[in-house]
This record gives sequence, structure tokens and C-alpha cells, in this order.
Amino acid sequence: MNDFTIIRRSLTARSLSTVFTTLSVAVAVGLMLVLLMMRDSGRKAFERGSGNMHLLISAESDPLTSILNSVFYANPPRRPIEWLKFQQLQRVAPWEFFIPVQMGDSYRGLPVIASTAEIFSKFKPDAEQAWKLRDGRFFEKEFEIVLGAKAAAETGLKLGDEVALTHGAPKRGEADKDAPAPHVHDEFKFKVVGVLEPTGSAHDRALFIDVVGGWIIHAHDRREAEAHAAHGGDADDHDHHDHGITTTADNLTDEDRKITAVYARVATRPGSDASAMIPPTFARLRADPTIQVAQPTQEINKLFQIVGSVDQILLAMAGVVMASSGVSILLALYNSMEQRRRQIAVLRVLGASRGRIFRLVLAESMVLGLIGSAIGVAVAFVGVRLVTAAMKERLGLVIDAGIDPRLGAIVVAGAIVLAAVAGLLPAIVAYRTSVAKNLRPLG
Amino acid sequence: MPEPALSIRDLVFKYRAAELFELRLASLDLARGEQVLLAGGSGTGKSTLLQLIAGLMDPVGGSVQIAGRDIHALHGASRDRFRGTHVGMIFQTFNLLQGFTALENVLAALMFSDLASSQHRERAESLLRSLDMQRMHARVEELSVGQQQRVAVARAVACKPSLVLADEPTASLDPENAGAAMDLIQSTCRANGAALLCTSHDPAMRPKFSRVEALSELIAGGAR
Repeated sequence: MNDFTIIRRSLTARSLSTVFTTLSVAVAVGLMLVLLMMRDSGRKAFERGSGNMHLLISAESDPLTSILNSVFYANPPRRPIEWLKFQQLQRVAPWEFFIPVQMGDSYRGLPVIASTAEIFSKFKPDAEQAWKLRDGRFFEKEFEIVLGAKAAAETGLKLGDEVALTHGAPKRGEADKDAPAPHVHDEFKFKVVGVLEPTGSAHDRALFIDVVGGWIIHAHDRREAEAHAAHGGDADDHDHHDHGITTTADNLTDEDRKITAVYARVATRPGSDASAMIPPTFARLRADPTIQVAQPTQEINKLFQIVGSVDQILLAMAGVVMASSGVSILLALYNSMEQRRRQIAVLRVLGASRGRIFRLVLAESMVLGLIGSAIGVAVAFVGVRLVTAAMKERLGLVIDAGIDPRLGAIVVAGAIVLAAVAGLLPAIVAYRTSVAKNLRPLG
Repeated sequence: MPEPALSIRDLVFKYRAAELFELRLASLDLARGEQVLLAGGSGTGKSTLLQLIAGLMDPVGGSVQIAGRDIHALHGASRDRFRGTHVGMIFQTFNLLQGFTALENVLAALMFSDLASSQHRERAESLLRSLDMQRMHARVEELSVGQQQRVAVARAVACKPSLVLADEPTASLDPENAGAAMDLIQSTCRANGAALLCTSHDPAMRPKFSRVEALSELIAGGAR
């Protein structure tokens, strides 16, 4: 028998109140932790996706959209960059890499990225970490395909499997209303030659092919439309029926060689990520009205400034929930004092000092805070899983949310301190409880 | 010669809220192990006197010495600790800790005693067994009135006090059970070496005590 037994009995004696009070603390702590965890790991996820590129060039309407579409695959980019333009831009600066990327095709709803071998040899999805293969090798020619880790897991594809890609991605909202209707190109089979290790970025959901393979699909569509028109149909109303046409790299024209973005990095000194060349190169490219140039770091900062204000509102709301849970503790304990006056008086008769009674009530309040916090941490873990799953499903953003032990400790300690503060008034009431009055009737 | 279990001298008490009530008691002594019945009707100040003796109320004058120590000379936690180790109390309505088991009610008293915590459980169990208390792990609200009384008695003597104060301990019992309950209290106090000061307005209890004091004769003032 010790003070904890008394606290335990007191809490179980009013179990319903204890459960609801504890839950209110749990919700507050859980909400606070989820928001903090998502904020930090969300930012990390965005930073991971753009990796070691300095600039992203596209023909999108604004820089943020180009980042979201060409790095995080939110939607397929709509406006292409002509190959001649790409070659012209390539001469603007001494690039460390200048990698063409073409998007717009898909496989079972997952984005297909058509690029060159440099996307694996020079671009790093995480600034600190290059691509790693779990199985096989990178693509070396057209009609070979490499799977991102999540794409492999979701599709169940393995080395040697052959797949037909869908030309055009599934429509997502109004932005894509002018995009061609998706159709499967069974005539072009892509063989799985490699599976990547997870990178923790949106690239894990992608499938990678050689850009020439992507162009051939486009060229095939063009040539079939032309054949259809030659037979008296409307080229724009082409329904992709077979005209016996075979398309290879030799049939490609400049019109077919379109890309949707360029991953670019200006030359830097070995071991350094920064370069004095970035600002002038950026300024020069920005002067070109036919393209959009974005600095991923700046755009992510802008995004987080926008999200940050919402973030602060949510954190403030979590703070209000936390404060209201403190009020719940105060009310629960204060209301219980009326029923506990006799218990307090008896403990005093048995030898408990006023100070010990004060500490007992305060400790009881802190135990409520502690149990609520423990449940709140569990709620946070479950909540983060749900939120990250929703983010992945809806935004295609892979967030690897983990808990920072220091942050968790601060929130839990804060909840316990708040509970202690909430317990002060009931503890003072308990301290001042009159023994003589509360032992009546005495005869 | 050992100090008496209780020694009261020139005790004066006034209710702050009720100026009309004043209690004056010139002298009352209880030897070690002595058992005294304090007789008196309702409203004569029996409970007030017991609370003064236990140090739960403060007199305006005089002294109350328990085992040679003036309880009112002690303050705050020291007085509470002294009460926990030297005074046991039994109430008419028992005042057991609701929601706690019989054993825990006795252990609660030992929490504030000088006895080493390693001996608490053994002491509580042996006391309850000696009082023929079978259901020591049952919550007190599940026990019969007779069993609750045994728990209250065990709790009062758990700390091996010098003095047990019993405030109308049989008032809520029928005559047959009242007699048995008083026998239990007296024998338990005797077995544990504690003096007993018991208040009762029941004349049937008088023959059980070798010494009976009428409160009306002891107090000089009383209700005015």
C-alpha cells in the first residue's frame, strides 16, 4: 500500500470520468505530435524528391506546379518542350547534368518516367544518396524498364516480366481535360531489367524507361493517325485501330522528340552543392518566356510558407485542445473533491499531513496527464500512418514520418506539467478540507 | 512510572462560529491500557472532546498530553505524524475508505506509522485474522456491518497506538450486536496494549467498563 494505490483507487472509483479525461489528454497530445511529425517529415520528403538538382526547367504555367508535377508526379505535365529548345538550353551554361525527362505515360496508374541513362548515373533523388539497385541493372536501351521500389511492390512485377504501357496518364481533374484519352500500347512490350532500392521520395512510385522508348510510342500514335487520315479518316479522331504500322527509332522526327522537363545542375566544385553560377543561370533562363525555370529549394520553401500558416493554425488548435484537456482534468478532480472530502478527512485522521494530501491530488492529476500522454503517443503513431497513407494516395507524396524523441518528450512533459497546473486548484481544496466537518456524524 | 496514556489539564474550547458553546474540562487521566466510558447524551460535546484529544481541533487553553507529549504543542505534519502513530480512532459510521479492500483500509493506517513497510502486510493480515475477518480482499462496501466494524477496529489498533478513541461505536447497532461489538473493541485494545476512551449514550454499555465518567460532571461549562 502506497500513495499510488490511493491514486489508483481514486481514479477507478470514477472510471467514466477518468476515461474521458484521459482521452481528452490523449487526443490533444496525439494531435500535437501528428502535426509536428508531419511538418518535419513532410519537408524532408519534399527535399528528398528534388535531390541534387539545382534547376527544374519545364513549360508549365508556374514554378511550383512544375515542381509538383515533374518531381512529385502530382499530375502529368501538359506542355512539352521541343527537342530543339532542349538543345538550345543545353548551351546556356556549363551543366554538371542536363537530363531530359518525359512524363505522361503510365502503368496501372503509376507514372512512367522516360529519360536518359544520366537520370541514374548523375541525378540523385536524395542529395546525400545515389540510386541503388535491389535487383538487375539500369536500362540500357529502349523497351527496357526499371521499377521504383514502391512501384515494384504495388505491381508485383519482377525481373524479366514484360509490360505494355498506357499512353497518357489517368485524368485527374480539370487540368487534364484536353489530354488524350489513355490507351494501352500492346504492340510495345517493355521488359523489366531492374528494381530500385527505396529512396523515400515520390520517385519510388515511378517506372523508368529510356526516353527513346517513350518517343517511339508517341511516334507510333502520330504515324497511325497519319495513316488513318490517309485512308480518309480524321487524324484527330483516331481510334487507334491497327494499320499494320511498325515504328522504330528510325521513324522518329523532331516533332516526336518532345520532353516535359529538364533536371539540371550547374557545374560545382567537387564536394560542394552550391555554385555562384546558379543565380545568373537562373536569371538568364527566366528571361525566356517559352519556358518555366524553378529552383526546387526555393519553391519548397515557398510551399512551406503557404502551408506553414495553416500549420500554425492547426498547431494553435492543438494547443487549444491541450488547454481544454487541462480544464477537463481540473473539472474532473474539482468535482470529485465533493465526494472525496470524507476520504481526505479519514486519511488525515490516520496521520496524513495536509502537504501529503496536496501532493496526492497533484500526483493524481499528473498520472491522468501521463496516461493520457502515453495513449496520445500511440494515437500519434496510428494517426501518422493514416495521414501518410492518405498523402501517398492523394498526392503521391511519400512521407517517411518518424518521431523525434526530443520533440515527443517535450510534448509529453508539457502535457504532464499542464495536468499538474490543472490539479493545483483541486489540490488546494483538498489541502484546506476540514477534518472535523467531514467526519460527521460523530454522535 | 510510565507516562499516562492520556492526561488533560484545564482544557478550554470555544467554537468560533457558535459563541454560545464553550467546553471546559479541568482534568481527565487515563492510565496505560485503561478503558474508560465517557457517558453523555447527544450535543454534550463528546465528539468535540475526542477531536480535541486527537489534535483535529485546537483549544483556546489547557493541554492534552498523549503518552507524555502535548499534542497541541505540535504543529502541521508533526502533529499528523504523531496522531498516526499514537492515536487510533473508531467512528459510529466506521468511516472506512470506500473502494478500498478490508486489507487496504488497515494498510492505509500503517502507511503513516513508524512500522517498517516490509512488515505492514503481515501486521494487517494478522490483525484481520485475529478478528476472524475472512474476506480481507473484498471491498469494504461489499462487507456486512459487523465485518466493517472489525475492519474499523483493526485499523484503529494497526499502528500500536497508546490510545484508542471510540466515538459512539455501537450507536448504529441493535442491542445484541452492540454488546458484541463493544466486547470486540475492548478485547482488541487490551490485546494491543492500547488505552480506550469510548463515548456512548447507551446505558447498556456501562457495565462493560470498570470506569465510567459522565461528561456533564467533567466539564465545567458545557452548552450554555
